[in-house]
Amino acid sequence: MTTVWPELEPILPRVRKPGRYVGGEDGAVVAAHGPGIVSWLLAYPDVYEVGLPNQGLQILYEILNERCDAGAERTYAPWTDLEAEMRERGIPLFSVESHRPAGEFDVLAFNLSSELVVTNVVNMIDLAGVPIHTAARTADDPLVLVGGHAAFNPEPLADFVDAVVLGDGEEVVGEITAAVVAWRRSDDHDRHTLLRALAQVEGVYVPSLYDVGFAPTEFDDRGTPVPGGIISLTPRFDDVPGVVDKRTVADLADWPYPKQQLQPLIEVVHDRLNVEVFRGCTRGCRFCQAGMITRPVRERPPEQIRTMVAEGLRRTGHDEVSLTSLSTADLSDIGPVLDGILDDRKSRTDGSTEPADCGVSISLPSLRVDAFTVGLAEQVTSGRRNGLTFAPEAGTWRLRQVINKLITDDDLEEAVGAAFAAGWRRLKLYFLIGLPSETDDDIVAIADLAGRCVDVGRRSHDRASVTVSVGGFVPKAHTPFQWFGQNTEEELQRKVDLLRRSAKAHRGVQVKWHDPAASTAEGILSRGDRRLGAVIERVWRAGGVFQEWSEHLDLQRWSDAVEAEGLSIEHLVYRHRTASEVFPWTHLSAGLFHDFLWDDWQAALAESGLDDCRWTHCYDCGVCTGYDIDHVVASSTPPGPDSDFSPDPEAPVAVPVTLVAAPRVMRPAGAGSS
Amino acid sequence: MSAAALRMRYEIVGKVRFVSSRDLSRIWERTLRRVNVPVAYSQGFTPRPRLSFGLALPTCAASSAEYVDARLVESSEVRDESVAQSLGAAVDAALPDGLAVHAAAYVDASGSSLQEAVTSVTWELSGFEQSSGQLSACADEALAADELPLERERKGAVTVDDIRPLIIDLAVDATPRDRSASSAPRVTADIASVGRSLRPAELARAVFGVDDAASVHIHRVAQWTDGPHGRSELLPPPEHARSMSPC
Repeated sequence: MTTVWPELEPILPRVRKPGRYVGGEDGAVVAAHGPGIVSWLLAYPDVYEVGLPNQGLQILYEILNERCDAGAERTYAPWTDLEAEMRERGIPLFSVESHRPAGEFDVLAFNLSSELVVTNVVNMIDLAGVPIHTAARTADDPLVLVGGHAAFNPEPLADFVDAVVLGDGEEVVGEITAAVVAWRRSDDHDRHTLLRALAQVEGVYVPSLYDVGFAPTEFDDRGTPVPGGIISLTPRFDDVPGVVDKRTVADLADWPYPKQQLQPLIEVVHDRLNVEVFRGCTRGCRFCQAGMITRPVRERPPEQIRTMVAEGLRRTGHDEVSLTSLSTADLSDIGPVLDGILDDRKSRTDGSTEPADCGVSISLPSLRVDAFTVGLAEQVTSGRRNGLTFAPEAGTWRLRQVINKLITDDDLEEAVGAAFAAGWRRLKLYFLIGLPSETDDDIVAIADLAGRCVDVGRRSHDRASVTVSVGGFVPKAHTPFQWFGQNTEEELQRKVDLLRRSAKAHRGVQVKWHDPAASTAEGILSRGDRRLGAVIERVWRAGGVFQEWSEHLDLQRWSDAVEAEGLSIEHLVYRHRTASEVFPWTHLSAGLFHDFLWDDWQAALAESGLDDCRWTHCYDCGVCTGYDIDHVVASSTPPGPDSDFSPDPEAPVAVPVTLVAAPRVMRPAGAGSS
Repeated sequence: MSAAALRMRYEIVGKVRFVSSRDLSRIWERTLRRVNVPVAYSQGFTPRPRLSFGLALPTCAASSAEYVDARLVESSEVRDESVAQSLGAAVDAALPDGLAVHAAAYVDASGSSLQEAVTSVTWELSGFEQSSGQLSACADEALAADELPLERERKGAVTVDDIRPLIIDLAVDATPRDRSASSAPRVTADIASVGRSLRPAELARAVFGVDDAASVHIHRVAQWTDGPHGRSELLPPPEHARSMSPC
């Protein structure tokens, strides 16, 4: 087997953080390669420290390595210093396990967790020595795949990727492997044959098998181009599906992965044990793409959570575990689950030397805003109360009804009061700006709300403070806000400035904000069509990599490229879409009915909120009925007194909820690994 | 028994030598927790295991003589040589590839720290472009000099230090270490580690005129402490340790 290690080793002393490139993680697998084995290179298009903790990638890594017909290694984007050395010496992109050249793998599969990584994807394909355009690849080149949340609008990448996976990857990676094996065994080594076969796999979209027709570009009074919209979107062959549906695993209990979370040698972001406690969210926040595309809710059984936590802590030596989901306080029986984890840890450390208060800390990301949640946070943090984050998302109750984040000012103040009383001194509040129907009053209200939170906190502590963190809203595909025209860069900046001025009137309130230029660049990609391929290529050729990193993002590169390709940011980003708009992702389905999304958009504009269908009634978004799957939740009522929960006795009750019968048979975590 | 620490001598070779010393200390914390070594924790809101390392090894350098002291909780348990060695073996088994425990012993935690105890360090440098003859000439010249001024930057200010007093000895060997051709010729340097020390890369630049310090392979082979009978290693190297054990 070939390896670039002998060429790489002498240049590592010349680059920053060389530990990024040596692998050596506990849990890493030396994958088998050879005839009859499909070798996957799972790629994360950002630096190692950011990519390594990615749970999706680690899950697929284990599942593939457990198969006898597949092997998987990993790669991450080399930082610019190493990339320069690699290009100078002709060293290709490599895996971190065996330092095998990327071009020798059968499949190069990218995890796309955000839009701005697209230029890194192109750069990594190029560094692999593979033609960047799918049309130029031959049977000897790896198959280039993308998956992950941002792949739900993959059209900007249509020129560069061979196939796209929509939804959960656990099952589909095996089916893709089987399709590659079958193609290899056949006499037909035409790459097109493989792509046609992949298009038959449920959840796999092959962009090159579709023709997209655009209306001709027109020019407005000032001579600015107004690019034509999509007028046709058709499969090129009869056997290619007209609509590609996402994949959904029905029950997380069948997938207790990762069983052996990778423990890296160097510090990474989220440097702790992560256990996914449920997938999907039906809170129905209208801006939230993750909540829309991952439905329905599938909870992991409590006993399995407990085993995965205990086993993971023992194996890795971590002292912190994060229970991950889109809203962890919504897990049924969250209280008993936390008790169980703390009990296990206590029984392990009894008679041991670790001080009781540093035995284990549990972090609960994505907390909803209420006093019950503060109680949970209090339960899991002993000793250190560093910071607590809530996300009210909007400054007024009116606007929170528009976005369907149904937290009243009283809820927030009660939660904040409970948090400060419990010993926290610093709170962080997340808000979005640039939301539909937002006025300056809504912006000023953010500062006022934060000021009231400080006042509440000062009843407990003299130096209580609140940090307000704001990000510009970027409308996303497959959400009710996909029709909304994003605020311009200037407008977002004006609102940031207004907020900063307003916050000055309140002691103890600090404001942090996300660069509006980054929101604009993200907006170009989030709802873009396949004409953006040429734009991405221009930005990449101009050196625009690592666009998620503020020191590397230059919006001018994007504006120049958009203009050079005869497109306009106004059209791509700022324009409101009409009811008749044909979206670039019209042929891709997350299971949500078009009518559901449109009606929800109209309800938003009417300032009308929607309850959580897990615990109330079904709004027929299309996912459960369309895919014949159900929510998997252990309780028909929300955990704790819930501010979002207001059952309407008049509403029709047709709840597609399966209550999980406990106890259930489960695979122990850690069993059956390779 | 008074406050004790478990002192371990370990090697660092291969890919793991590219991790920073900060990351290395995190690896040690997790490993000791995994094998339940009764490490004492610091006080305060964020208690940390009380580990101490000696003079940091430069990132990318290898070593067969690294040390860590793990302060232990007070306990009435027996702490003899065999217990120390079995703990060392358990830690060894749990460490990542490239890290290996070569010796372990209990030491009095009230004694001097690793940083204080080490008075000199032996380095082995290889990967030079020069011949062994050229290197020998440089070494002889340096040893014969009364002073060796070296310009270096610290916190933005340029200072000139005389490094000659720090150089105890230099030896050049034309034969390769092991069978690797790139390790010949090699320089063995004994450097004093009191006061502001001399980094191996600085030595390569100042004495052997190496502009590109990243091209030199650096290997720490010994860390010495002064005693009544001359200097000795903090813990004996593995060959010595094995020959001492009854078999």
